[in-house]
Amino acid sequence: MFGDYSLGDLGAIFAMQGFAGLILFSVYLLMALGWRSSSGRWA
Amino acid sequence: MGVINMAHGEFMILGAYMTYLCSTFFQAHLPGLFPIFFFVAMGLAFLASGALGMATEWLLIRHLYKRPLDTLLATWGLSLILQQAYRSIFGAREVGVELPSWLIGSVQVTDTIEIPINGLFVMGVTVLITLGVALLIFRSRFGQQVRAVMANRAMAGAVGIDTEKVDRLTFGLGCGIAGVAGSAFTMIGSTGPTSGQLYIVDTFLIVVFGGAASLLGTIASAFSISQTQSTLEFFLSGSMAKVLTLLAVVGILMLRPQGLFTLKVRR
Repeated sequence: MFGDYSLGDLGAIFAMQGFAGLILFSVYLLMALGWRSSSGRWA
Repeated sequence: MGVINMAHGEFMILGAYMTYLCSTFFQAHLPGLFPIFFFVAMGLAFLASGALGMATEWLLIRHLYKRPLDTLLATWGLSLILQQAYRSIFGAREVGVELPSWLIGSVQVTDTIEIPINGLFVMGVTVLITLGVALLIFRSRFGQQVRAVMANRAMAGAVGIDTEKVDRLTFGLGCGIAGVAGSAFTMIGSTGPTSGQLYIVDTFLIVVFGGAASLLGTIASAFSISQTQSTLEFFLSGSMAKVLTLLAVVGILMLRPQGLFTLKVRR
């Protein structure tokens, strides 16, 4: 899986995919915050 | 409160549809203001989902407190009703939201690394909302009342806190935040009547994996799951990335069932 890429390429891939995953992280975090609030899990 | 809200995904999708309606309205009637439509859309998404949430709490949820399995069943039925309502109003086909030009494209950091602008924008909004929620719950009078009601409802009522009002506002706040998540969701995919079902299980997973009582745990688990999935999607198919991510989460939960972060509480 990783053998086709150099270390530099892998670093760039992880960085790019990491930034691309920011929106997914935001959706997940907002959904989880909202669910915790609506289910009363703040104590 | 003891509520398991299976319709949470549909509150998110309401926010997404509000964003879609905003986009088409601004394109048709206010093209000059189209660059700022997303801010208006997020505000409307919060208000619409929050209002629907408060109505749901008043009509349905408040009769089922301390009966979590009944709330699970009732909200599951509500999610089916909402899905059909979306299908009837917006059609069965998925709809996409056109973004303003300033949100399209990426910032070139190095020769090989580009950061998408919409990702940075949504990340900024999420940080603001997370900080806002944390300040509201842990530093404000309302937050104090919320935590008092959740910790000991009878005593909170005895000292004069309107527990019904607090429950309604808290539930509405949660649904409103889901509406904003729906606005963000429009940037990563098309919106359909059943799109919310894709995220409800992930939401439960993130809360459980992070530790049910810890806000920091929720942040850490959302970050780790989203980054793992996003990175593995580059090397494998989307389904396989999801499978491996879930296997890792299951493995960690078997070793640490209380989740990543736990708070010591006196029971």
